Amino acid sequence: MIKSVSIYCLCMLSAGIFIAGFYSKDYYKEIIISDNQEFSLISNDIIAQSEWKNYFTHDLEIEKISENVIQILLKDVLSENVQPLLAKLQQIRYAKLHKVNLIGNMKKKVFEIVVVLTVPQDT
Amino acid sequence: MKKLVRLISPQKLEVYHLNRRGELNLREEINPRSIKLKRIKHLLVSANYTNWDTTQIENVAYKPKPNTNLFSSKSLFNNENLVTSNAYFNEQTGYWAQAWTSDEKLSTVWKLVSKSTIIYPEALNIVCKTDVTFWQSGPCSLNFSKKTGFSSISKNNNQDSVIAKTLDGFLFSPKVSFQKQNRKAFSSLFWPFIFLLGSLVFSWHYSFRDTVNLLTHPPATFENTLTGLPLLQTIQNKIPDGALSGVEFNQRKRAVTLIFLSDEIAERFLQKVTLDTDLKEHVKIEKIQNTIVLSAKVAE
Repeated sequence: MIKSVSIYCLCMLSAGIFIAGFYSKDYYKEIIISDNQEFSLISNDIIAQSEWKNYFTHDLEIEKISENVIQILLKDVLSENVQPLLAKLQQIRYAKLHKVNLIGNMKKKVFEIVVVLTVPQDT
Repeated sequence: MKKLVRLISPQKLEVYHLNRRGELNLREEINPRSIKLKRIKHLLVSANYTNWDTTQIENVAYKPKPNTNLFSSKSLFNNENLVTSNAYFNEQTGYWAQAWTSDEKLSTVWKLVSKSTIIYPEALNIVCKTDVTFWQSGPCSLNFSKKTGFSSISKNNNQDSVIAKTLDGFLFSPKVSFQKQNRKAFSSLFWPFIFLLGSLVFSWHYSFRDTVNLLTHPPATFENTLTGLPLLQTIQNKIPDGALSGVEFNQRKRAVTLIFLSDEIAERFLQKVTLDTDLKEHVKIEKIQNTIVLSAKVAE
């Protein structure tokens, strides 16, 4: 009787752990997918131009200044796009914003935005 | 009322009812091959299947370890083939008793019954009210000894003695047994444990590790509000159109640097902002050629 109950409990526990494993995966995916800055937590993706381009929805260049400092150069920004881009810069969560340079080009009537960010060591 | 089965030989089996006082009442004699015995829980076996002995040990504190063979010198079987029962100490008589048999013999019994059946050698588990009662147990006639509290093979050659053919009216007192219960319990729990372990390993690698890491070590987040932006919005009306070539926000210094097209424009802007007493009170203003640095005053 005790043995049967033990076997039943072990089997139920194992099944519960399997189900919890799948549920936990879904929960994890939900958190990650809903985070549009998840790429900045991955050391290889933090300097991936395409990832940042998707985030800003603007053409840019990335330069790695040191192990954890990167510079993003947003070129040919129209004046009406400056405010939304500044807003997006302020929404960056997983990197520290240090400097933002807004340089005007009078001839082309566009701006160039230079951003310096530090990323945590453990990313 | 419990049912107790006595196996005398491969061809002879007796079914008893055991009452609350432990007395055996014979119900029927049958051929073991004609019925299924897998469901019976207790089986009494005759001297046909086991050997046994009793002894007194002077050291009253003696406690044998499990699987100790008290009578190893008396056994003719190899240790590999030998199966021993638990050693039992009769506190009333001070005698130890143990039964043993060959693995092969016991296997023939376990083929008939289930592996969870407890097998009792009758010489050590049957009690008589008197010393003069004899009964036939397989090839031997046994008689109970009040001195030891167990039975032994009778040496009485008196032809007049009455030897009981069955155990009807005898008392059953379970003391010494053979059982595979533990091994089976282990083997039956082995696979559920492996399954449990497998589910834990799978779930950990599949998702738990990432989720636990995410919950216990959430990534560091930063507040990246541009501190100079509200200041710039305050003074933007004072900046002439087309006068700036660039703006720099320095988050560490909490400063905004305005880069004018010329030194003169910067000077004119400086004169304008210095008139704003409210601004001068909260903001530190510095001019370096064509740049003006506006930074929040730190309270001293």
